[in-house]
Amino acid sequence: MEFYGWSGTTLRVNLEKGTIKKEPLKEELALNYVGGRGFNSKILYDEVPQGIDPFDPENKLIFGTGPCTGTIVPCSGRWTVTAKSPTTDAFGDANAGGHWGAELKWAGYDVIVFEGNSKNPVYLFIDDNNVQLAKADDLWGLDVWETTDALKEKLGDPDLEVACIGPAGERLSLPACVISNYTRGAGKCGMGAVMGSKKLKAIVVRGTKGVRVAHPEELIKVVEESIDILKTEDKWWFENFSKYGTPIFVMLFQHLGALPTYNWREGWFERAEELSGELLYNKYVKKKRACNACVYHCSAYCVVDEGPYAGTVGEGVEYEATGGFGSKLGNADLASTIAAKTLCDKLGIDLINCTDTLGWAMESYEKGFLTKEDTDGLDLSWGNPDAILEAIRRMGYREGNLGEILARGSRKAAREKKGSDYYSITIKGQQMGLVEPRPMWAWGLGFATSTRGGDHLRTQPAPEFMFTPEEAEKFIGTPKISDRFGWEGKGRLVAWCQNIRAINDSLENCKYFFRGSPRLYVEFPAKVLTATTGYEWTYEKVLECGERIYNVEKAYNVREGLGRQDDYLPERFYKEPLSKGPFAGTVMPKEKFDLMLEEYYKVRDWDQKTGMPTRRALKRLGLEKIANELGKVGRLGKAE
Amino acid sequence: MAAETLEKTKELIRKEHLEGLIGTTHSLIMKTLSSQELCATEIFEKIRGQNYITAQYQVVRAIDQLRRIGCVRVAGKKKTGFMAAPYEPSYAITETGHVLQRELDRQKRL
Repeated sequence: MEFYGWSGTTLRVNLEKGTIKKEPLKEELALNYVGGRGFNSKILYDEVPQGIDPFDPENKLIFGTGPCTGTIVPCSGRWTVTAKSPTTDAFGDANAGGHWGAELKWAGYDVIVFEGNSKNPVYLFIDDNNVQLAKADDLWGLDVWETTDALKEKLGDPDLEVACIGPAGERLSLPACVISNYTRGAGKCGMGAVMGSKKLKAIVVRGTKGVRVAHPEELIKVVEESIDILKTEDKWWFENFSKYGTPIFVMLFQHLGALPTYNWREGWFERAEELSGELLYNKYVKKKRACNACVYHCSAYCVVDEGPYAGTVGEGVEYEATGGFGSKLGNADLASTIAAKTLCDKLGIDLINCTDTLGWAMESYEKGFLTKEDTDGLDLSWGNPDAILEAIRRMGYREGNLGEILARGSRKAAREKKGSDYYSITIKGQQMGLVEPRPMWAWGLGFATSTRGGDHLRTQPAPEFMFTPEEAEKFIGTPKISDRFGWEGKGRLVAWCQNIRAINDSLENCKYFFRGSPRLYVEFPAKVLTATTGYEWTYEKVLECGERIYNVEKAYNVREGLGRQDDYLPERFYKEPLSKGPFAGTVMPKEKFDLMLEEYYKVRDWDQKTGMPTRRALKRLGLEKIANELGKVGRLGKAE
Repeated sequence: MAAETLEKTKELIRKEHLEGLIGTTHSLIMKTLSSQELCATEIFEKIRGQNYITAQYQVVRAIDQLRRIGCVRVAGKKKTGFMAAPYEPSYAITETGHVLQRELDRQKRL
């Protein structure tokens, strides 16, 4: 069967046997799961057995692109990698931008499924129709930048796209990620460690075929219209985000009292202005960069010209770097956050896991749970930039006592340091993205109910502070969601956002494309899907696909034994009021959180006592087979 | 004259895809501007807590919608500290804004 948008081919690579197969895409999968994250999630649920160790050869590592990847659809240059996560021991995936995903589509593939574990290091080289595994002994031990350069030189093409792991992934350090384009990390859930367990060093792609689109003229029209909506209806956002990128959030969240500070103790940092996106732009940004088909160009190439970090270069210095290595660790040295980000990129380490693990380590050091013996003498006091850089290096190389501790990530490390688990700010074992939930209640609920653990991107309920109350009423059904400190309507908002974001990730379209303009949320996905694929898509059908994808991921977690008890925030947010800034005194009352959670389960039609999906909900989404499977193992929720 | 202005404003609201989206928030903003020029942060400080408004960006967005339909205009700029570096524009209500304000007092949503 021939497709538009989708390439129509899945690559299945068995690393144990060294075999490569090409399989046709099934129409049923395409129409029900859209692409990228949706395809990967369904394949993971169907093919990875319950209860296995994430490093077991039976775990699969799945790379997916969307139907619009490689086209002119704005911000569609992303890709998703999925596996059972060693960080959460449950569902895991990670998403990245850059150009690698588009290149894979141009080579003619929607998905690559890696099975088994190789005995020796290998890399996969995809050159349009020619696909081969090759030895990577000479690459093993190189960092991400060295690996990328070595492969481009070896294969004689500087324009090849490379996704690879660094020393952290090779050593199964749980904060390890997969990086493409030198600096674009697919960070969450320890996907780099899974890749390392399979001894897969890199995936190199050269694609020259392009993507067939069903209605090119219509697609151009839809793209032009949507960019126009963005520029007129979300003007402030478009202008400022294009210029400053995500580092603009440092001051934006500071004003909301939502800038995580001192390992999430506070939501306001007394030296935030020293970390601002504006300062970064004025002092260090030399050039703007973009992912494939991006209209923002939010990424920046930075150079540090003077001071102790002079000579540092880096790209994609995001809010998670300036805030994560900054306020979260009590550090106001902006240049050091650029150096820390670049070091993470070279070692192949996820910023969020890294900074939360370091936050746990610093607070544990302050409280005496970690000693100088544990840190091999390193002074892990707050705001010590040199110690931060050295700790990252040891995390990546698993060097010494401290390296071993940090390589387990904060949750698993905290289990071995009695009393320190309170300071491990994780949900389902996953470190959280940089938004303080006490003054942002929808964000709190979104973190807690994310299918890949504590994660801001799964939900990204930007409408809570970006829609006007009038827009909230029209598009979400109640203006009450605009009250950041209110619980009513938050369950509905979070479920809606999660369904929409599942479609973002399955189109492989950047979530920053729609933030403040409701029209883009409602109109854009169906219109681009229809013009690209030639099938008729509606807003309702798109939302249903998003809900289906979310339920499949939830079912995976439920099958692994997760339930309502795993849909909560870390205790700190319920117990400790913020003590500084404009929202001092704010806490997330647990009884209000429960009200939000129950509303959320009700909207999803999941069991309010257990948090498990009901047969009725699954059946409505065409997932009766999953309902039967969960029923057999006693993991099906009861309908009200 | 006022009726003609109102009709033109309603037409602009339709053209700008803002039907049903101009309401209490916009009315509150225009009321704060009726006696002085203010920037978004200052307006936010005056109306926070009313009509579920709890974030500066909600005000930034509503002001931009009012600007698109000619009810407020940029009058100058001020440094307020909303973000670290840029100056924020300050706004004044226009004659059309006064007309819309009166209509919003009569019916809550346009």
